[in-house]
Amino acid sequence: MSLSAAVETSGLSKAYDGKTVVDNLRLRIAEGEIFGLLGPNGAGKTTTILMLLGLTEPTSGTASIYGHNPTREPLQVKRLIGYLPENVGFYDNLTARENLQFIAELNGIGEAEADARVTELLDAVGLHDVNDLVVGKYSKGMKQRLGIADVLIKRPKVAILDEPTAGLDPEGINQVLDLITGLPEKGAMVILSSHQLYQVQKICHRVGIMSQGKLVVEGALDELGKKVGGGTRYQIEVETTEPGIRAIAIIKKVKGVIRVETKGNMLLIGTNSDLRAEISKAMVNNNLPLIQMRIQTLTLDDIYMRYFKEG
Amino acid sequence: MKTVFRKEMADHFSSIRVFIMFLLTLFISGLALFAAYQGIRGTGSGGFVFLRLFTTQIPDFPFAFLLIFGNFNALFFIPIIGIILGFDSINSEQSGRTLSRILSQPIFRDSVINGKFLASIATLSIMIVISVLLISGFGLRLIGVPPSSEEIIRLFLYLVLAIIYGGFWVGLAMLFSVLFRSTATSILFSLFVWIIFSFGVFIVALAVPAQTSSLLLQFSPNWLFALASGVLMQPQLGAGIVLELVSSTIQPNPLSLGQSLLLVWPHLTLLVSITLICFAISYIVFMKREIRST
Amino acid sequence: MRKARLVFLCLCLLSLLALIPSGLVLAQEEEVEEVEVEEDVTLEATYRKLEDSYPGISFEYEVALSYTGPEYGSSREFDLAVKAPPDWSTYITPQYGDQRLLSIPLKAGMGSSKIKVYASPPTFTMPEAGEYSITLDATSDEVSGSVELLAVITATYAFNLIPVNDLYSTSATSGKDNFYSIVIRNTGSDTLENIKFSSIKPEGWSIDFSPEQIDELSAGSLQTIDVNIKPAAKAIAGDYQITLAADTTRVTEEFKVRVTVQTPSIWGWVGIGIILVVIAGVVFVFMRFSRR
Ligand SMILES: Nc1ncnc2c1ncn2[C@@H]1O[C@H](COP(=O)(O)OP(=O)(O)O)[C@@H](O)[C@H]1O
Ligand SMILES: [Mg+2]
Repeated sequence: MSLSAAVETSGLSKAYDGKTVVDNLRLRIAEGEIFGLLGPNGAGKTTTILMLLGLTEPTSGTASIYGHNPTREPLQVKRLIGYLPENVGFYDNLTARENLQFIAELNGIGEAEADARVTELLDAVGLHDVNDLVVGKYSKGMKQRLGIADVLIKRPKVAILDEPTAGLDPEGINQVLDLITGLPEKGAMVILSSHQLYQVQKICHRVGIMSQGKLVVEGALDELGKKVGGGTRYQIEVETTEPGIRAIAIIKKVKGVIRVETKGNMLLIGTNSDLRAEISKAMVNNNLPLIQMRIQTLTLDDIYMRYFKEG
Repeated sequence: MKTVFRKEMADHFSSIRVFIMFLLTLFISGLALFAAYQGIRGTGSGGFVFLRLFTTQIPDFPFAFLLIFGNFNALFFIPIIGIILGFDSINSEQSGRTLSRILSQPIFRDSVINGKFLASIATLSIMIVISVLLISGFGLRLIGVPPSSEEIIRLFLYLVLAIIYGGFWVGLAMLFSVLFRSTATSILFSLFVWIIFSFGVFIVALAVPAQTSSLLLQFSPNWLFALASGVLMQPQLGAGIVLELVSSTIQPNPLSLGQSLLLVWPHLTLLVSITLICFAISYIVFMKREIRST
Repeated sequence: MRKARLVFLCLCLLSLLALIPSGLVLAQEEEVEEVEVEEDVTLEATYRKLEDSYPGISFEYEVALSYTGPEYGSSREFDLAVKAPPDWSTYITPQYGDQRLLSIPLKAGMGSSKIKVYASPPTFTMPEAGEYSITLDATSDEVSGSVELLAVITATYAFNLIPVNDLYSTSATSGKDNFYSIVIRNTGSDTLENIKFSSIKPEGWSIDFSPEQIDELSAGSLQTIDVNIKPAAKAIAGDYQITLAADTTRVTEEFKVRVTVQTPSIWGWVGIGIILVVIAGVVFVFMRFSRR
């Protein structure tokens, strides 16, 4: 966010037959970032991506890729973006090399240059040995890696990968993720969508979580917990028989406690450090029955589960 | 568009489907030539001898009309070839999930559909031209009479006509390939339309009063093509076949080239317009379509 | 002739009378007349002079033969012979039946027997028009008779028109001169004059005869005519039929010829050229566009 945003949306919305699928989306993604667009199936990730590419028109709001509007300047935008669709497909009757050459040609890359790039990329994605095999005979993982080569052939400034790891075995996932991690070095920022948490956790610099078309939370991984938890890093849950104003007041006096909420018999205490000892001491001192105490670090998983459950 | 065109051409010329159609073309040309040869030998030197290669049928042979190139073969096989070349052009990309990848490249969306349309037309044209040239070449050897310049012009116009006619069917098949996700559906619809235009229209035309039927037939590309090719290739039949004059027993005078052109002009424009309408619909639908790979 | 015989007969009688004494002669005269009947044969044609109803047809005469002899009912065999102009063929049959007769038995005083005499003029080189005499002789030793029959031949005009070597089919190259020969032979009995040649041919063809016309062709003679068949330049290869005819004012003859038109080989080569170009084009297109 400190850098100037390369990809930006404001108020971006899409409705199908009156049903809002992407709702007033505001995104700012900077150059050199790997940005994870996360959310359960049907959250509107793909729709958002399509709008960024100009493959579908937003109902309202705008998107901008390096200052270009995808609806009005689709060609400039497409020149900048390399897009790996969800469930990418290739011409099964062509070889990997021919498939890539065709895309290179569509991008107006000269034959010699295209040849060099294809060779280099097939090497990079580890498909060198099978480059003359028709793609119809490729495994899903090979196709996905070829897809990444396909994205890179035009040397994009933005690589948008829709569910790049879907349907792959663990080894395949790792290979693909390794490739993605290397993209910023090659000069491409990455926007990837996924509903698979752990991959994102590993490689994303920042994530945005979508739920029912809304971007519910966005930020760097370590900031994210705070944001979701109301600005705290830890959440300490205390079960007591007397939750109430007195209990809240007592706990609020503990140094370092930022916020206290009640939820049934539970007190939810937001802190930035592990204050379990202090809190239990305070409770005991004030004759508050303490039944159980638990500390939670808010990981992406929790956040994710939370929105999944809601969605 | 050039790139798409080239790729499509490469696809066509590498596909078994097109190869088989090529063989079919050769086979049909051979049959037509054989038929013409049987019917034409020793029949004098009157009229448009060379054109007769394309319009003569074997005498006293049942179903001889099935073998005439000029009317029958072209009338029935060009649509089939057109349909085969067009019916899966868009929806196969969609089901192969390649379309969104292609459309995210910096090309205009219409260049995909235009390139495909043109590649199909080009392939079809190559087939038609090869067929006509083969018949001409072998025919020239067999009958030994060179075409007059008028015959060459007529033959050329016929080629143009046949290609436009083929263009209609490619356009129609492509329209269905845009409208329907499944290639099976689009080929079924295309064949359905083909049957309607080839046979259905005529049956209906017989059933309704003459006034209505002639109007109805104007919308059948088959009918338009048959009439126009008749005028171009068999000028000796006179204007009667188009103008529906009261048929008389008097042999009509052959039409001059100019007259022939004048007569086929409306048919040609109608054919071009329905082809364009077809293409325009698929174009608009395709341009507005949201391309999802799922 | 008969008169001559009668005169001769009378002279014989008179000389006999001179030898016999007159009284006795008178007494004997009636008896002698009865007994002394001369043997004789008479031939009489029903119709002596005939004209040919049709050129070359044979003449058919009916001749009645009667024999008078001393003994009533006595039979005598007569040889029959026909004298006709050279090259005529003749034969004799009974009135009913088709045996060829060389002789005939006749009974004295028993009326006449009828025979038929056939005489055919030669068919080739028909005899010239005119009157021809055919004589039928019946001879038996010293008894003989004859009758002269007349055949009047009218002039016939006929000819044959045939291809040389009986070739009723030929081939020709379209738009080119192609030679063919026909023969005309005068089979009539008179000279043919002003023989003109003509043809029935497909549109655009030209067929020329050389000579174009024959002024005179005497009976029995023949002449060869060269025919130049030139099919239309745009004639499609194949079999055509033409009719060649010759007419005089009196007779017409014609026959049909099958002409197999071959086309100049140049167009064949052009055709092959086109085919080769097409094949090359197909190969080129496949090489240019195909991936493999
Ligand atoms: N063409 C469409 N018409 C109506 N609804 C659609 C259409 N395309 C997608 N949707 C709906 O939009 C929502 C978002 O879809 P999508 O963006 O594909 O989600 P995801 O986050 O799984 O990629 C889904 O509920 C889907 O049903
Ligand atoms: Mg999706």
